[in-house]
This record gives sequence, C-alpha cells and structure tokens, in this order.
Amino acid sequence: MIAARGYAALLTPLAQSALSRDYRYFRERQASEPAACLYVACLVLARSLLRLESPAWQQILGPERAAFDHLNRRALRPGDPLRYAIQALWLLCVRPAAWARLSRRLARFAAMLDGGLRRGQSWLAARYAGFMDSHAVRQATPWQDASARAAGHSLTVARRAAMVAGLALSAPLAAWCITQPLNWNSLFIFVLALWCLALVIRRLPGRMPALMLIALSVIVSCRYLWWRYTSTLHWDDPLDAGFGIALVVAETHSWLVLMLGYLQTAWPLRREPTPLPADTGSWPSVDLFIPTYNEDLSVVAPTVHAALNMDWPKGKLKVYILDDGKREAFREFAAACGAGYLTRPDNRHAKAGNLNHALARTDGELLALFDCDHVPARSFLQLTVGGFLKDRRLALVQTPHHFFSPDPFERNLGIFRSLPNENILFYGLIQDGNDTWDATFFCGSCAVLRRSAVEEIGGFAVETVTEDAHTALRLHRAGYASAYLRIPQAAGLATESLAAHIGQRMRWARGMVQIFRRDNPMLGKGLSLAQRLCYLNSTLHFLAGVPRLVYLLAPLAFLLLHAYIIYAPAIAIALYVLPHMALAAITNSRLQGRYRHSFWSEVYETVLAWYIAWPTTAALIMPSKGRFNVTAKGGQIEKTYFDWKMASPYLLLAALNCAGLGFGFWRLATGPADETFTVLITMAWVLYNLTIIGVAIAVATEAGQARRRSRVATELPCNLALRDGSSYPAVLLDYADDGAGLRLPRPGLVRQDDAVMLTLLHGGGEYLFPAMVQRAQGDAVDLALAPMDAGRHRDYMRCTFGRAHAWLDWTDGFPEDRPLRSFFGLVSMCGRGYAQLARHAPEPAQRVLRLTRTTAYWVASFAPRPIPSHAAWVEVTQP
Amino acid sequence: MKSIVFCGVRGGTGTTSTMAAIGQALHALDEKVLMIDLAPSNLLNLHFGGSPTETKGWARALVDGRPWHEAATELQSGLHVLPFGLLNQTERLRAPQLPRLLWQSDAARMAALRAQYSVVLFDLPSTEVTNSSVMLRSDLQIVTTEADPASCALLAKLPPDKRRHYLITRYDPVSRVQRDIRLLWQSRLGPNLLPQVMHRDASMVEALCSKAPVGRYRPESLAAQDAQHIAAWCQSRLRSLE
Repeated sequence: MIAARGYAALLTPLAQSALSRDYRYFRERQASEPAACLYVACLVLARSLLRLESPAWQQILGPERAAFDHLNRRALRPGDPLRYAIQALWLLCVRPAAWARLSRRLARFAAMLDGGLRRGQSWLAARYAGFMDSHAVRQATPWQDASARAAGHSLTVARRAAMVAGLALSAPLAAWCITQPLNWNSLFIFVLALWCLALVIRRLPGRMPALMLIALSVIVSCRYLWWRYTSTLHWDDPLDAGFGIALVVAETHSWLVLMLGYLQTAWPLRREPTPLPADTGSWPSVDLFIPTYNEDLSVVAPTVHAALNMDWPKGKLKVYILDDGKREAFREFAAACGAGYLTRPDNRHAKAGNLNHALARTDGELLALFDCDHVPARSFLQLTVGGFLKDRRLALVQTPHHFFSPDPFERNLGIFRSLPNENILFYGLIQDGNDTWDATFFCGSCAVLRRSAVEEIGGFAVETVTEDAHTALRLHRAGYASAYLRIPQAAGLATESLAAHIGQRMRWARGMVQIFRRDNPMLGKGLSLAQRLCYLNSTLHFLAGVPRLVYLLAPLAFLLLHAYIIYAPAIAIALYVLPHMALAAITNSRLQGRYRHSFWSEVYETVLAWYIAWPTTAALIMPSKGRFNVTAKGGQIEKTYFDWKMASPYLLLAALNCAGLGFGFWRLATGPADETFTVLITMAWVLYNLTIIGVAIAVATEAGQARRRSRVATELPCNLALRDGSSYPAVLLDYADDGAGLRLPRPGLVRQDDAVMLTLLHGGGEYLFPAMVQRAQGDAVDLALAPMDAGRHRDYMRCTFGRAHAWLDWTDGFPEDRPLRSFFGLVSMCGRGYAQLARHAPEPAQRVLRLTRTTAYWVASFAPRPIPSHAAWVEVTQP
Repeated sequence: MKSIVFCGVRGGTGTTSTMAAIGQALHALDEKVLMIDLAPSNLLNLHFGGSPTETKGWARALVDGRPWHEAATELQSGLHVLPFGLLNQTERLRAPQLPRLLWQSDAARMAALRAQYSVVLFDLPSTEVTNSSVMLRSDLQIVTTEADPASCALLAKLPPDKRRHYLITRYDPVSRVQRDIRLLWQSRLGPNLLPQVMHRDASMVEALCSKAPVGRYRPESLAAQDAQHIAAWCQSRLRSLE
C-alpha cells in the first residue's frame, strides 16, 4: 500500500492505471505478490529499453499472442521471464516464415530429383524390358529334373564349355578388380559411381538388375575383405592383436554368409505344382503322421480333423496320431473320429524314434508329416503329390510353415501382420533359392516324403537333435531330389514366449552344428557343389552368435581399453566400410525387401546371439547329442511382464555400451585431437549397437494376450440366425477354434449372452454352429462357439482353417522396404524398449529415473516452441 | 421387354412374397418392373400396401368390360403392380381363360407396354404349374418349392422342361432333411436349380405384416440379400437371352 502511494506520486495517472492493470493480470495468473511486483518491474524495464511498439516487435507479440501460447495458458512459474525472453529472442532470430519457405523449397527439390530418377528408371525399364526379364533369362535350370541329372545329361558339352570359358574370362578380371589398390581420390570416385549406379538399378524390375546389384556388392565386399587382410593386420600390442583378430574373423564370417546368401537367393525357382493324372485310381496311398508328446488335445484335435478332411480318394489316406505321451484321451479321440493311433513302449530318440516306429507299422507309399499344431488345408496332397508321380527320384516335397499366431517379436513389438516376420524370409525366399540348386531341406512338418527313399537311408536320422535337416542331407547323398512348393498349405502356432522361441532356436543351432561335425556336407560324396554350399550357409547362419557378440563389443575395445582393432586411418575406414555396408544393404533390400525389412536381421541375430554362442561352440568341439528339449506349444501369457532372466544378456551388453559411450565423451574431452574422428565413428557404432539392443530389450517385454486362442484375420461372408427367427448376412472378420468375430449389417441386432446360430458358407453348402454372443460393440460382434462334436468340428475346420486358399495372402499387405524408414522404426521401438525397462525397473532405480525425467522436462521447458501452424499471421508477405 | 413367371409347385410355398421381394430388388437394380397377379386370391397387392378388400384389378376390369391397364397402381416411378381384383364364385370359374384376353390386346397397347417396362413378373397360382399359356410364353420360369419330401415327389411328376428353373424357399440349414434334399436337387437338376435359395427368415413374415416388401422393410436382413442375389441372377439371365 505504501509502495502504491509511492508510485502514485512518481507516475502519471495513465502509467499508474497501466501498471495496476498489469499487476492485476499477473495476480490472476496466480503469481504471488512479490513475484507479481517483480514481473511488473521486468515489464517496465522491457518497455523502456526495447521499443515494444515497433513493427518488428508487434509482429512477434501480435494481437493473438499465439507465439507465447504455451506460456500464457498456465500459471506463472519462477523461471517464466527467462522463458518469455528466450522465446522472443528465438522468434526474432529464426523467422519461421523463412524457414517454412526454405523447407518447402528443399522438399520440392528433393521431389524433383526423386521424380527425375524414377522417370529415368522407367525409361530404362521400358527400353530394356525384354533384356531384363527375357525368356532366356527366366528359363529353369537343368537341376529341376533330377532324373535327367541321374542320367548324367544335366549339362550338355556346349553349356559346360561356355561356363568354363566365362569363368576363365571373368575370374582374372574379378581378381584384378578386387586387388587393385586405389588412392583416396580414385577410391572415392569409384565408390561414388558404384553407389549411384546401385541407386539407379535397384528399382528396375526383373531378375537382371538383381544380378547386377549382386555383382556390384560382391566387388565392393571382396575389395573390402582383401583390404582388411592385406593392409590392416599389423599390431604391436598383443591386446590390439587379440581384439583385431576376433573382429577380422567375425567379418570374414559375415562376408562368407553374404556371398553364400547371394548364391542361395539370386534365383528363386518359383516351382509350379505338378498336376495329378485324371485317373484317381493311379494316385498313391498316403500315410499322414501327426506326432505328439505333451500337447493338449485341444491343440491336436483341429489338426486331426483337418487332416481327415483332406481331398484324397477314400481309402488311400490314413491319418495316424503318434502319441509319445501314451494318453488315454487321445486314444479315445482317435477311435471316435476314425484316425489311427500308434504308440510305443519307450521314448527313445524323441520325435525321430517316434516316426521310425510308425514307419515300421504302416504301408502307404507316401508319408505326409505334420506337427501337431499345423492345421493342413484340404488341397495339400493334391498340390504336392503330383511331383512324386512324374519324377521317380523325388523324395521330398516341402511347403512353407505359416503361423497364424504372432511370434514373440510380433507380439511384444506390436508388428503382427504389419511387418514381415522372421519366418517369411526362410520360407518365402531362401528355401525357394535352395530349390534352384536342388538343396531344399526337410523342415520337420508340412512335407511329403517317399517311403521307399526314407527306408533306403535307414529311416529318420536319430544322431542329431535336428533330425529333419539330417534326414534331408542323407536323402540328397543317396541321390534323391527334393522340391519346394512356395504355397502355404498349413498354418500353425508360433512359439508363444521369447524363452520358448530361444529354446527352439538353440536346439536348431546345436543340431545344425552337430550335422556339420558328424556328417559334414562339405565332405563325403553324393552332393553337388551348390548343395554343399547351401547346407554350409545354413550352418554358418547358426554360427553367427559369436560374431554378433564381437560386433556388439568391438567398439568398446577402443573406447574402454584404447585398443586399436582396425589399423587404418579413419578416412580409409569410411571409404571401405561404408560402401561395403551400403551396397550390401541396398542389394539385400532389393533381394529380400519383400520378406525381411532392412536391419531386422541384426535384431534377430542380436536376440539369439548370447544364447546360441555357447551351445554352437560346444557342439563344434564336442558334438555328442544334446538333450532334445521339446518346444512347448499352445501355452499363453496372461499379463504383461518383463522377462528379466531372458533379458539379462541384453542388459549387460547395453550397460557395457553405455559405459563405452561415457568413455567416448571423456576421450573427446581429454584425448588427443587427431583421434577425434575415430572416437566419433566409434561412438556412432556404439549408438547403433544400443539401438539394436534396445529393440532386443523391447522384445523381452512379454505382452499379455487377452484371448485364449489366436484369431486368424479374414473376410468371409456368413449368416447369423437369431433366436427370434430373423437372419442377417454378416462378414466373418476373424476366427479361432473356439470363437469368431463378425461384423453385422447394422448395430443393435444382438446383445451380450444372446444365443445365435452362425452359418458358414463353403462349397455351395451351409454349415451351422451354435454360439453365444460374448461382446457386441456397435456392429462388431464377438462370438464364443458352443462345444462341438467331432462331425461338427470337422465341418468347422472345413469352412475355416481347411480352405485351400486360406493362407495364400501370407506375404501380402506388407509395406515396401525403405531402409531409412525401417531404421527409424527400429529407433522408436528401441525407445519403447528402454522405456519399458524403466517402467519395470526396481524401485530405487525408478526413483533415479523419475528424478532424471523431471530434471530433463524442466530444462526442456526453457526451449523455445515453434508457432502453431494455424496461427498463420506470420505469413505476411516478405520481400 | 422380358417376362418372368413365378409359380409354386404346390400352394403355400411363399411364391407371392418371393415375387414381391424380387420385383422390388429388380427395381433397385434400375429395371422398370411391372408385377401382374394372376392368382384369384389377389394377395400380391397386400405386399405393397393394398387393402385385402380392394376390388380393383385387371380381371375385375376385364369382366366389367373396362380397359384392364387402368387397374395398375404405381408404387414408385418404374415399379408398378397390377392386382387381380375381386371376383365372385362364378366369375372365378372363368379365371384360367382370362390371361388369354391380355395377350389379345391391341398391338398399340402391347407396344406401349414394351416401351414402358423392361421386366414383367407374373404370379401364377400353383394349380396351373403344368398347363399354362403364361408359362409357355414367358422368357424365364421360376418354380418355387420348399425342400421337403412331398415337393420331391411333385417335382418328379412335372414334365421336364429346360426353361424351367427351381427356387428353394424357406430354406433352413438347421434341418438335415432340407440340406440333403438341396444336395440331391443340386446333383439331379443341375443348372436348373437356382444357386441362391430364399432362407427361412422371420423378416419375410414381418414384412408382410407391415405391408412392405422385405427389401424396404428390413434391407439388412438375409431374406432381402437373397432377393437381391436372385434379382441379379434373373437380370443376367435375361440379358443372355437377347
């Protein structure tokens, strides 16, 4: 009050009223009395020192004051004068309009470049379309017909001579290209030219551009490896030498996998099914085996019903349940539905022993094998058996494993049906590529084998834990052929938790290395060179545990221990490593982009690396048979939790990498200046590692699933009959063994707990299934199907899982692979992973994290904000 | 102008309701439809809001010596119905000969008819399923039947005719007998059995209670969808006859 009277004496009435208005404004904004006085004083200072009424200031302060919205909308806080000042300064300096114009211009320029590039590509494609995809280029290789191969006429003399001549010409050229050293300028131009060429070629359709890209990538990668071996292996320090050798070995492994991968996937065969003869009397008899051990009957019953529904002449198909669990319920079930039931006194050799036991007690000409949760479609036999009749030496036809439930990656990262899963690369591309070289191997399920061939090699292989691949190897050695049909005719359940998934992969890894040690595909007779290399690549893929760990820890050798792992200047690293990685990424994106997006291979490898490193190394040294751990099928995860046990290796790796990052900053601050570039590159590498590890941590957060059974998404017409006699056409949106989801024509037709009849339409017939409404939201209805007897269950399988075209869209609906976009997607998943880790962390850690977060938000609140776009008053035309 | 005749293999198979639904569905497919009731029971106009005691109709007009075409009612632009009219007992005895008088109308009248409508639907009583000039003159014959053993026997008695198509009405897939009889007819009648059935649906009955065709009463019902599918089938069938 005294102060007020003092002001009254000093100021004119106008100034007095202005000041008291401002004071009242600040008090309304919930500032305390002294704070309000302080703010008023600041305002007076601002008005006297700065010319707030000048046009430049008015433009910023503006009638709407939209620029200060984020501050005006809440109560005043102590630091607010500083915040206002920073925002005003930023607006003065930055000129959002100019920035917006600049970014628009840049976007237009980029679009123009992209458009020009695409026009050039389409011109090239149109002009050389005949050349790119000509019939001569697409012609099948001679290895498709194994009978011809057995007769020894696979390669005519002329063809052989042409191949030899081609090799004789190109080998020295390639060797010169790879080993010729270049100085920095030439190397830069060379690498730039190759990169531009790759960018142009990669969008052109056809097989030829893919082969050209492979050639470019092979040149660059071989140059890189040659340079590594010839120029970077000098070490004075034993520590340097140790780490350096580890890294070189890891890189050699990756190079080998890359090269063999190109060989495997350069030319997918895309085999067509062989039609069966019209006379069904000549069709062979088939025994269908469904081995089971400890799975629930509810998991096996759909498979048995679908198998009984298969389209095959009556009497020529016999379905057998091979029950190693010797359960009475299964015996009764088999008797009730007309399937055979076989069991044995012991459980020696697990699944392989089970199959061999059944082999001796059945007599069909062909064997069809299905895992107990792989539900076959009705057309499986009609698509696969034709080849056996045409080709006497064909012993195996394999079809893809498709999963209608999400695997741990898809479920925990939330990418089910929006990104290709781990499975699709192998069954969509690699097996297809193997088929070109007649190296398709048996995958344990969804396949048909010739009984005489299996008996000739002594039954299913029991010496290793992956009896399927070993059996296929033995069949190949005996001179039989194998085929792969890239049409999914069965679908099953994916592993339901990360622990189960890793357990399954560990078994595969151990088994493949056991095969490598005991029955090495590179040695021994009976295999062609290409077959050996394909088997070798499969083994090398599972030996990637140790190299991946090396990659994850290599930058730390420099940052933590100051060990020089690559003896080369930073510029050399940039000019050799970056093109090698870039071209490999571009080529793989082109070859595999439909089946696996960029950078996801690193994620899958990282998740498995720690777990398969030891078993594979042990199996390399001591290949005695490990324990066959059965993959648990059909379980479910109730609620979300963080799998600490599984995630502990990733946490360790992340902690080490974070330590490396910290050391990196320290070295930047205190180390010698000429090392700065090296430290920066190494820290970038560490950041990349942290991103991949973050995604692995995100996978370790097990997301709970609300439903007991996974639903298969679909869109089929169906009818719903209500109790009152009215019926409505509906659309079946998803189905499972015990429930279905529908969309009705309009909301409000059913209520919860209504009893309804679901009619599914199939093959001109209508099949009814009583159900109860579990949930009705708008026009979407969730039904629980009433328990069904065997006959009705079979009808249900016929209408849903057993449809011939049920899984044909398995690779549809995935977006195109864009490497940068894929990487940024991974970055966001990595962020979620670390956030989940923080959320599930123990309490002391959570307190620290909360404190850090609060501090970070407080600091960030001082940052200036851009003006929201609707306040377009800044768009005053400026010269 | 094409014509379709609907007739039941026996009485009470839901011919009139089915024809009303299909006529309305054809109109929804942008055809100009005239529905003519040839049954003395005069039930067709009930499906479109008429009264049961309404006497107006083409047969009434013919007997009274008035022009028959004036008895038509316009329901919507392009959808017209011509009820039979109320006849007493003695007049009804002449009913089977009355359609012939329709054909014998002057050429100008017939030409006008052809210009005005693209499809004419006839509702024939089931007693005339074997011997009717209407059946013989129509482009498409649809005999409605329920899937029961009696209808099996009746169908077997009908002389075979390539132009005659059979439509199962009140089909309820719950009944195993109905499913089996449908399978039997699929194999025996082949392409003469319509691939689409009219399902048993309470909406049909409720629609008649509301005196509206089921496509307007409850367009999201299964019966309405069945009628749409059959109308589309008829449309493509008639186009292929040109």
